[in-house]
Amino acid sequence: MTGRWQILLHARNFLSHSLRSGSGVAFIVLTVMVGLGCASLVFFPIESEIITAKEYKENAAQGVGTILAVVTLQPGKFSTLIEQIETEELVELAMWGRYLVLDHPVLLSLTVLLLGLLLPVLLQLGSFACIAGDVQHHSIRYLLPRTTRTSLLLGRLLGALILSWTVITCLQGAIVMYLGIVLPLDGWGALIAWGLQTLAALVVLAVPYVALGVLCSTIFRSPMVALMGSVGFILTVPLIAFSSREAWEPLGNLLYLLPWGYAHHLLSPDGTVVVKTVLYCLGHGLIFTVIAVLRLRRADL
Amino acid sequence: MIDSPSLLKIEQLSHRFGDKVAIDRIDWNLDQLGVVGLVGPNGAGKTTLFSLIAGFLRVQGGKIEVLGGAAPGSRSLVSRVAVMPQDAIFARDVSIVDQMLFLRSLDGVTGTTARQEVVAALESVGLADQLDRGAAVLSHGMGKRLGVAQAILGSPELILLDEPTAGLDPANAKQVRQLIRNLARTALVIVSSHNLLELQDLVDEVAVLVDGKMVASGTIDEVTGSARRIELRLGREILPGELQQILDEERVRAVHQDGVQLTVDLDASAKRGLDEALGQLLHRLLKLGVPPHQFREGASLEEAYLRLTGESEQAAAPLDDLAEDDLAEDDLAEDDLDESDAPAAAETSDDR
Amino acid sequence: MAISDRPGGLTALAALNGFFAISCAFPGLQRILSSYRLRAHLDDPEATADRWSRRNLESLIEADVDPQQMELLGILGLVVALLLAVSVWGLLKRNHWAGKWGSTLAAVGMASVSWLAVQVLPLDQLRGVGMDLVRQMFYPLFLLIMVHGIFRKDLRLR
Repeated sequence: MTGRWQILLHARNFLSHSLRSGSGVAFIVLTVMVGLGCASLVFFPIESEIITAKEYKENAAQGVGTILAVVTLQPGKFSTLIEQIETEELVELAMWGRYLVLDHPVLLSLTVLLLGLLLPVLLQLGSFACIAGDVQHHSIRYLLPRTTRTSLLLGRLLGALILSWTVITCLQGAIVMYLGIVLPLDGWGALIAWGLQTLAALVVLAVPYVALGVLCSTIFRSPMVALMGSVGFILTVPLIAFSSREAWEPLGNLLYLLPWGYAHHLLSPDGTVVVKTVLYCLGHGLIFTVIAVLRLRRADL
Repeated sequence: MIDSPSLLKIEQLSHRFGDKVAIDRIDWNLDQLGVVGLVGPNGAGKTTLFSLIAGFLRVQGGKIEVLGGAAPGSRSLVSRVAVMPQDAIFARDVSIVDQMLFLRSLDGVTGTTARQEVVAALESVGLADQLDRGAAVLSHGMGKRLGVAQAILGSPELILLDEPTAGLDPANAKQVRQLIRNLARTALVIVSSHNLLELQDLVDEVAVLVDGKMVASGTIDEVTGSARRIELRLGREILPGELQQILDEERVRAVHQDGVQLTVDLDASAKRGLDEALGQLLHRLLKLGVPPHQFREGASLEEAYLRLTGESEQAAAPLDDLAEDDLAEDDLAEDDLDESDAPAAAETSDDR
Repeated sequence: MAISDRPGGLTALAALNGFFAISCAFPGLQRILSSYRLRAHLDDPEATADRWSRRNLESLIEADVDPQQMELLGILGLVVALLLAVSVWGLLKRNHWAGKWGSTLAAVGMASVSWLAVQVLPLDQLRGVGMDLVRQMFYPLFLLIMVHGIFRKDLRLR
């Protein structure tokens, strides 16, 4: 039995088992509910505008979208922001705003930006029990005589990734369909193309965070502690980075312990930057995976 | 027992959990197929030793070589070692048959062949009617049998069974014992158990663990020091003077009387030792005019176990009182089996 | 012996079905009530005193919604809620008909009611985002996949 075949078997078993045990059901429904909740935050003002100003439907939507985008990216007074956008220091922000707001379906861009902030936490729900669940109940002892620890971990990681990617695809598909059918603001062509690109960005972004969830699942023997550990790490890294940066600038680089510092470049207009960011994300995922493999291989189970 | 090169070799194995020493410099060498019993009090380190051999725990000190020199948990041992862990549970959300099929698929066997093997394994432990049930509905005994069934899937060369018959009813326990005997034709089966009478009939060899130390190992005769316990039911109670006469027989080591019940420990060493010892005992009883109404072999291993683990003082005080003089002259006195004095039985085992 | 070997996923699905049964039943009742108010408003527009209700009803009339359509949507919503409630019992009892086919009919019903509502009701009566969107677009599909795929063996005819 080759290791690769065993990895696929473990992935399939993990998918089936997580759905049957209910944790997968909870993960899917929670992620989709929260994801669509984000979408509703973005869509709601537009829907209101459409209802109150039907005669200006097309223009109003884009106008409100522009305001929303700018407000989201840099809270403050709109008039001041427009002035600021023209200044040197906000050139990049202006470029980003125009790129996301004017060149692509506005609402989808904003929804994906919001999802990019929430998904890292939600993805932990799909991976926290990968290893810790079996370790806690010692059921891993039935598997170990028949497989290697590395195959087991890689298989479970692959299963968690497939589950996460499926959920992200369902979520993104629902949002794109809703935008296309109920709020036909941007043509289907642009919507689908940008939808696929943003979907790819979210799929890549999922890799390091799912790997982190699996790593925590190998470090802690209780699934709930693993979940708290991974979510805590994801949330405290930016908090510590931002607060300590005030004291000493280099401490701001703590943000790069996770993809927080560069993940937004997955939506960059520059293809080279996107490719580099994808490689960074995959590299981050690889580092977490290697640590997890080393940890599991040395662990007392 | 069938000869085979180095199935399990343990050298100076030690393991700690924090400050507690779970395994203390154990040497153990098993190079023959068959059934080996591992006994010891609770907390003696049996499960830890199993976990180390299976590769669940990392070896901290010493060396283990499994099936011809492989380290525990190494890739070359995948699907060659089977384990029935004591405290592991099966997933409650997946049917028993699906879990077994998954385990078999990891061995590379799928489809109809795998299903036939799984059904056969479950039939052999009496669980064929539970195929589509989840593990949650299984009783403790059924869970044990399921654990045994997964361990016998395929053709493992080393099988570790941690208390496989604990909690089983007599019929199922007998079925599992028969299964273990069959497995021993092609594999080395190491069984831990507290049921010493059961082990005595089942195993070819036995090892005794006490406080992480292996205080004895070898064949039953080697470990018991060729002592055989005989239980007799007499027609009447025998008098103290008569009891002393029995004890004075050359091959009688100890005698314990409880009403008309008589428990006698015989020295069965040397060629035809048991025949001679029984002859002496029966001759003496007939001479005293108390022919036995009932006669059966008792738990010799239990007696040895109690002696080796130091639990005999609480468990069998009257017996010790009567046998005191004899035991003082005996080569197998407790002091001799202390690890510091290198036990004769263990030495014999290590040389195998 | 443990009480049941029902997979945790089936229990989770039953809980979700119960939740969505409630979320289908309330709009259903609301639409039936609206159909009566609409009928009364069409008979006598002055009878509706409340300004908010009047605006609401007028937007329905502007969108050419008639009371029968509204009533039908309401009844369908209640039927779907009932089917979901039956499926909750079926999933918990692992019953083939109530669990598997009750869920299937409920899923198809949920999607159909949502589609009909989008066709019939004016935009301001639809908030097809957030939770509602989950129900309308995602949950029926998810439910079908679960009962016909993942829990196929658990809900088979015994």
